[in-house]
Amino acid sequence: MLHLNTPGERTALIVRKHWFILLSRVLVFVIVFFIPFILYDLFTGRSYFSVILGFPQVENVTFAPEVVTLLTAVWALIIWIKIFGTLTNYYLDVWIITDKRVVAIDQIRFFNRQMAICRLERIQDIIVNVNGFLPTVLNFGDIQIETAGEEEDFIIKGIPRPQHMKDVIMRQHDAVVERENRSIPNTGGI
Amino acid sequence: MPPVYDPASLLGPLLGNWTLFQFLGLAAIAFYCFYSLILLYHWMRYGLNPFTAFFMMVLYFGVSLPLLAIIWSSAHSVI
Repeated sequence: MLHLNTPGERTALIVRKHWFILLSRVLVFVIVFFIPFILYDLFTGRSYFSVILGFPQVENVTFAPEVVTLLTAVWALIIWIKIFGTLTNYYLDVWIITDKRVVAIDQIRFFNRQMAICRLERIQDIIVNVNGFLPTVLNFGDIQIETAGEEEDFIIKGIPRPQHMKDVIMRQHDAVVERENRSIPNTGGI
Repeated sequence: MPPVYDPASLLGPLLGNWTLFQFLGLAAIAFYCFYSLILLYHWMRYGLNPFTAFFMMVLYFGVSLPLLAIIWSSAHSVI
């Protein structure tokens, strides 16, 4: 569990990347898993596709069943643990919006983790970018938070319901500004 | 006369009668242990919630441990 809040800080929203991002990454591994078998079938000329593509049939290429089992199991194990590496990476990439700040935790790879914090009062503008057919249909996209000063813009990629997230951030931002205005003592003018 | 090693046993002098496939199986298991430790470290260090951690572990070990058993047994049954 994440314990990032300072005393008196309330979490408004915790967001992870859209499930489609995870699915597409896992699908890559699933496709990669089948590539050696497809190549083996193609180059030994025993499959339907190799006949269609005109690959010569090689009679002498045979492996003992134990060898095939061993190599397949090793390959499946490698793919399986890489899928879990991807799942872990996905789960640890997280954005937290509190009533004081936006925290972006980016798990780039194992032992490489970046955390960026943007205080709500520094936010100047928020741009939502939903680009492409699938992002539009599945409702995910990027959010760019422009901040005051010379700091780099805060970019959050691949989040679900970006418009909703923008609304949440803006609501929290407005509340912070209102609190600040109330706390400034009224001098009664010049 | 110099000693003659079985060509299938790359690490013959080091591992005795181990074959290439047994060595491959051992290397796969060692890699698995190393990678699993890294995974578990990240799950514990950065705090998956208990339900997610349990679900991930059951899924992860439920598939990978039988695969390890297959690797180990087939590596030792290759002649």
